[in-house]
Amino acid sequence: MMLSRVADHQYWMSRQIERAENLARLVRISEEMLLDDETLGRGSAQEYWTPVLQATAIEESFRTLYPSPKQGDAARFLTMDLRNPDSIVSSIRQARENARSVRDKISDEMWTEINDLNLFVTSPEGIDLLEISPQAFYEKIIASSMLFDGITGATLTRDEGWNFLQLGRLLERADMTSRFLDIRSQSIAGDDAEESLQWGAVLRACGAHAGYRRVHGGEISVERVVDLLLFSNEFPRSVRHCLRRANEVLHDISGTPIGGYSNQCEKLVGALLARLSFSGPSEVMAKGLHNYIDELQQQLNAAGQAVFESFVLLPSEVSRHFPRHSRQDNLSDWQREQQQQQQQ
Amino acid sequence: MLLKDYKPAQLFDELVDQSGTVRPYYKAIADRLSGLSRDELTQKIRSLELLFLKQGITFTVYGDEKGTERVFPFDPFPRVIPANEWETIEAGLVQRITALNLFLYDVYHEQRILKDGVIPNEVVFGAAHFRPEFVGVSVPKDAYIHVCGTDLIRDTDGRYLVLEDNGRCPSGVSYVLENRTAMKRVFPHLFGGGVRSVDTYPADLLATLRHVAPHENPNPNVVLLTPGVHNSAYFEHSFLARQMSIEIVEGRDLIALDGFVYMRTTRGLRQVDVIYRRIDDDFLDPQVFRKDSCLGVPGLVDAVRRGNVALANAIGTGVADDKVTYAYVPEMIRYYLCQEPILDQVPTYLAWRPTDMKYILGNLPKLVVKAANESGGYGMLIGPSATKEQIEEFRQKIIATPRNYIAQPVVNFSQHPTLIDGGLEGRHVDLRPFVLWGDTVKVLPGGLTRVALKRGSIVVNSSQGGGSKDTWVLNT
Amino acid sequence: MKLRILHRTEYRYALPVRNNNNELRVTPLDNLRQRTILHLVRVLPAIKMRRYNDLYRNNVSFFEVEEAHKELVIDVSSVVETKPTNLEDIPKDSPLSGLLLPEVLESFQPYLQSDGPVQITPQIWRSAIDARGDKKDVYAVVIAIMDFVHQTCKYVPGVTNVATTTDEFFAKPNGVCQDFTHLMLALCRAIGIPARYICGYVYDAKRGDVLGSHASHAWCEAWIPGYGWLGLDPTNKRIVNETYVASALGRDFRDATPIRGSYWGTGDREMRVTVHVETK
Repeated sequence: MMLSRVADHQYWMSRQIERAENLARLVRISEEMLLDDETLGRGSAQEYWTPVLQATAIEESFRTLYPSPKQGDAARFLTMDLRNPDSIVSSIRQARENARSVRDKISDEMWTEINDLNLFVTSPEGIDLLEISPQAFYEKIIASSMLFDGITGATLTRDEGWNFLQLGRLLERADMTSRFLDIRSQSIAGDDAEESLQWGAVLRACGAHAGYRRVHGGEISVERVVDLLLFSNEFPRSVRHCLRRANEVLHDISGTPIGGYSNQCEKLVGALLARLSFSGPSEVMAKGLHNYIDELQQQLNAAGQAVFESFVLLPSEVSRHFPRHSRQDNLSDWQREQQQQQQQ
Repeated sequence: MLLKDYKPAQLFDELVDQSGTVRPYYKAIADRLSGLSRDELTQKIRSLELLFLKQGITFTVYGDEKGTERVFPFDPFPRVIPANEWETIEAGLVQRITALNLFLYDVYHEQRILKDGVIPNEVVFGAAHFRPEFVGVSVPKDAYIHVCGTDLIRDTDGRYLVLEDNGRCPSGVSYVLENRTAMKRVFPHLFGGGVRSVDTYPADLLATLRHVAPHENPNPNVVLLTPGVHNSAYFEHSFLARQMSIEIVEGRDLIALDGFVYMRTTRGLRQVDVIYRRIDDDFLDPQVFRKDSCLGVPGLVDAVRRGNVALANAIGTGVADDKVTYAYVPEMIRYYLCQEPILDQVPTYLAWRPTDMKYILGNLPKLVVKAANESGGYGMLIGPSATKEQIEEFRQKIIATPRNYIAQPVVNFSQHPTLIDGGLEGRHVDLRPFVLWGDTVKVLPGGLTRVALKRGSIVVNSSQGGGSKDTWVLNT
Repeated sequence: MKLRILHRTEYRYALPVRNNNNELRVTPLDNLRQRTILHLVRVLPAIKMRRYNDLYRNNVSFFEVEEAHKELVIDVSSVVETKPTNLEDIPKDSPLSGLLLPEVLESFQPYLQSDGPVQITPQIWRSAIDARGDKKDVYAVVIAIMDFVHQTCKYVPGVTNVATTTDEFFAKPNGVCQDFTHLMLALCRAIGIPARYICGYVYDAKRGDVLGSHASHAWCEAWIPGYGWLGLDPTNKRIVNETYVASALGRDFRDATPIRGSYWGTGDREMRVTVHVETK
């Protein structure tokens, strides 16, 4: 048993770290690709970023804030812009705020790692690094996220809090992997060589190129990439793998044997996992990759919402409207009031 | 080598007496410190600061939009209090908290002290933190102030004076414990034994909280209620909760139903018996106090009234640590205990008394003026160092709302050698001991010694350039 | 030795009572044997406390709760530093005849009377003579009397009350520390040794070893020329040492009653007394 709010903070802390990592992977690979494209002299940079912005569901706010975007704006918006609540830096900052709220429930090492990362990304050194060597900047974030995961595994008691940390990371990872696939789902079919180059980039973004080669050899095709990233039972970033682990974690929390369910979240994740376990690339291709992923993401969102409803809200509150998650902007009132409190 | 260059204060100096001799109870520590080279010392301080930063032993500065967290500066030269001095301080503090709790019981019940004319009605009824809606409400074990942080200073003669009582949500005890841990880690050789331990504080605090559990529940669920991570004292809240192994909760974690309070857990609701609240009365319950607050728990006060949950400290204790009430504490001690106060306090002029008002207005440049209901060094005028404009501003304020202001002569705090830029210089210090009112009254040996790091300054608050020291109470 | 004493008395009245007057003799004495570091009397409902020093220089606290109330709590807490009794300081050759000096008789006149609960009956007088035997020095005699009381009487709570006199008790010597002490006073006084009644507290390190440690305790002090008052605890057959804290003295229980009160009201009254003595 733990406080619902603490479970919520733990869940979001690891979700946001994972989000930052995946965004870093995405921007890193996109910039790399863009360089290639520019040398080939095709397409404009803006067109290039559009699917990335669409896949991360921030295109609209980008267009509002940058009516006539210049080169580098999109990457900056995804990386440093605090007005984008889902930018890398925003995610890290929120993860750190969540960690601070549960400071007494996580290990000192976990806190130090996440606190240091937050200090780094906004420090002059961090900003310089992004300027001079963006690749190194993104790699640092990816490494830090993985280190955080490792530290968590090595220092945290396997209690309910640990389960919520896992749950957040797994659901976010499943979500982000599906987004990676979506980026290329609508790309204008060019020649085979270009397509294979683009899918190769997706694989690299997921750190899946080595895994792919071992299973499918050197030749890259859409079906096989989809097979690995959606349906693989072994590859740790595949949607199915993440959901299988999430399912285990949920049953660990509730104590219900796998195969049944005792709350809405278990039900949704279990059903989604069953669907992925009993289908494959041919169903995806028949439906269209984008449509398939769209549906998948809706279900993942529902599962995320169900975490909140099952463990944070009281049954009587579920029907009422509750914000999915407090973002920084609506936090500020709360914050001001906390500070108003006099110190004696 | 450091001590040779130390210039003692002309006022009361903690380390050396008037003839320039190191006081006997400081000799051991002074000898040990002298054995360290300047480089060794600097290096040790660095490792201390790093330790604090890494552990996030920080506070947030108000009015700073970015919510910057800072490390509370720590000075490694400990303040030493000999056993006999401490004995008097301890007795004085116990006497004081006893009188304050009796006073609170009285003003929330029969109000005899007012009827007998010992304290004028206006003092109580005019106090911003008096809660008339709690008159006649009983609290478990008749305890109001469970945790008190009393600020003490020493005058030119070395006499300890009470500067103020903090009977609402006093903070700072985590620094006492952390300072000690850090000192032991970085300067293990300084401890020659004979220093009284502070380790039992969390256990004593927990016992104090469990003591007031409603319905004599032998296994109460005790929680710490914090305003949240953005509060300046959040580090302390989380530190204490961790030390006591109790849940740290925010208002939104609690829910009041049918006169009981519960916390929301992943397995449903769990009843809460005692709330160690580190949140002001105003923010406890939007149904009763601030209607616009989003921090509180609607229905909490009703549960308190029905006696199903205990708050520590109780609601309405602010009337006892109001700065006008302060002037009457000696009278309370005489009234309820029929004793003379063991600890003296600073003479206080009350602006609402016409003769005092006249004196205050005529002597503003010589006085310290304080707002009656503020703490933390806010709303204060230090006459001798104030500008003409500031003095005029306060003059207007005092005339407009006399009940809100008191004035005191400037008391020159004692000085203590403090490490400044690698050398020792005298800096003003105060002392905040912590008193627990439970089954027995316990005083944490020592307390928080705060030091004003700016030369000549007497503002020791962390938010305004203060630091802290470890405080050693000797066994003998 | 530093001792902390917590003495709590709670009265609960079935029906509200008024004009509840109470007199407390609970303040540790300040003398060469003991030094008070802290002493507080806390009364609920909160009330104006008054104090005076009585004939025996006991510090008396008193108060009156006028309005109707159903509960009265008196909490006494003290911290006292005590000194051990050094047996070598007590003269072992101070003759009984030294007590017959006029100045002794005059100064200690109140502590030589047969009065109130301390009744010197012929039986008691006889026993005192027997206990004295042919011993000549005061110290040996008072020790013999203490041993006699301890041997003769049995500690049985609940059979005597505050008004029990020595003649009643001596007829069937079952009782508590108050009765033991009164009897010893009578025996001492019967053969001319000034003896006074002490009310106080005793620390029981082993918990269960010392009788009287769970409430206020009583013992007697006998005057030894060339030394002064020596505390003797007949209930435990001990010379009073640093584990004892005296809070009131007098001729007998009547002068040194720790809490005495009266009130207007009918109905049942429930009283609960707890005493904790611990080292600090």
